[in-house]
Amino acid sequence: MAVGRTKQKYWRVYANGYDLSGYSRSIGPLALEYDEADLTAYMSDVVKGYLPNMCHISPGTLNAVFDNTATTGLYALTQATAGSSRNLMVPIGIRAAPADGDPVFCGQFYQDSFNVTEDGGAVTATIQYSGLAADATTKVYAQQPWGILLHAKAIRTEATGVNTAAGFLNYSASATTTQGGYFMYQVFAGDGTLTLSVQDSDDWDDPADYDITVATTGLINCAVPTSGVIAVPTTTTLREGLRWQIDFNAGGGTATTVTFACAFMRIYDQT
Amino acid sequence: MANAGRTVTKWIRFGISDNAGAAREIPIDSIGPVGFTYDETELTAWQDAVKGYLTNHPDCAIDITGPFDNTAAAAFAASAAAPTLSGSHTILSALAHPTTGTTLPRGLWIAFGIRHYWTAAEDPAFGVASPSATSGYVLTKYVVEGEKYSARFVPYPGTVPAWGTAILIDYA
Repeated sequence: MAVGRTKQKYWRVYANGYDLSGYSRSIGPLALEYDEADLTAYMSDVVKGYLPNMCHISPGTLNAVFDNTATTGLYALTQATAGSSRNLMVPIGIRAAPADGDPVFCGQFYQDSFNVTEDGGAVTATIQYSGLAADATTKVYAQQPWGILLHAKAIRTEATGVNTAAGFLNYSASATTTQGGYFMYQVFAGDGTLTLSVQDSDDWDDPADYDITVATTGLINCAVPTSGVIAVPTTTTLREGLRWQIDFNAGGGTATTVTFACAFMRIYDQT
Repeated sequence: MANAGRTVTKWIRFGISDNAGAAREIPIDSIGPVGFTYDETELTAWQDAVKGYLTNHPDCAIDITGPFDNTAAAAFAASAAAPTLSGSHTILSALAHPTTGTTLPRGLWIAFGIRHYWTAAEDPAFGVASPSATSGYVLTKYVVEGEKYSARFVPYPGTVPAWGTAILIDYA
């Protein structure tokens, strides 16, 4: 993971277990906006005052190159899914392809459109996403679309085993947060079933201290592209570090290889 | 010796409390109007020769844009020192309001160094330099597009931002 500024060429777009980055030109604006409720007491307040009310979260519009390659082309992956809810993940690489620990924008959004357009002679496609889906798994928890990419898209095998590395400290370096959050995974390829999870730690840079599992998927069929969201209740305390974990054998898992990305959106306290 | 007179944007600093209350400075490349803009209440009668007005309550929302940056949080620079920047994303993404916790006002501080690094008790600054549970700003927008972000802050009810020459301090 690197830190600092970056360019959009290092962004990626994943939806329901498919990597759309190969066709994408841009996506955004990645929005988190609150209604401003004017609570000014006009007879006593000197200056107008506001409180944030409900928030609107949206990944905006995906602008892409039209491509009808069978199975994996943009047309094949997005034409028929217009009108459907999608688990969307937008990792933001920092001056390089996304790496473990980089920022990520996630959520469940409806794909409002698939439109073929023209741009200076090029045949392109625009895909508009909705605000957060009204039936989203994360609706109660997801006032926070921003998280940390715990595992960048990469292959893992049973031979390489579990994650023994340290994870990542939360952005505010808080010893704990008490608002829960949610875990999103995107499985791109694999050959059987396995379990993904998230572990927390009270000493974020010591791998031995990642000893509590805070979110787990249950068995995932990796033989087909898939994705999911696991909500961690808003009453849950999470310790300072988080890392991804994998179990190829739990619950009768049969996979020996998987290509996946996952992220955790931690909801921060204000103190 | 104090500088007086005109200045340029390279001497502007932008400070904000992070979610844990510590003063931080984030990179910006534009800032909306800074200061008070009053509502005008027109009180003209037909019999008047000229339209007449009174000012009502002022607004002082702050809109900023800047580069998206995930640099780790850094200690806030002192008066007369070069800015030490924390990542804009590091600070702003953690200001999304909690689901079940309390939304608290944050300190917000725009400082105008006069042809040198901003200096306390000398150079102007606007905002809420001493935030508390009842005084400060709240985030109402954090949007990332391309390589840039935009954000908006509005005063918490009852807050009276002000012009002054004090430096931003941690949330008390």
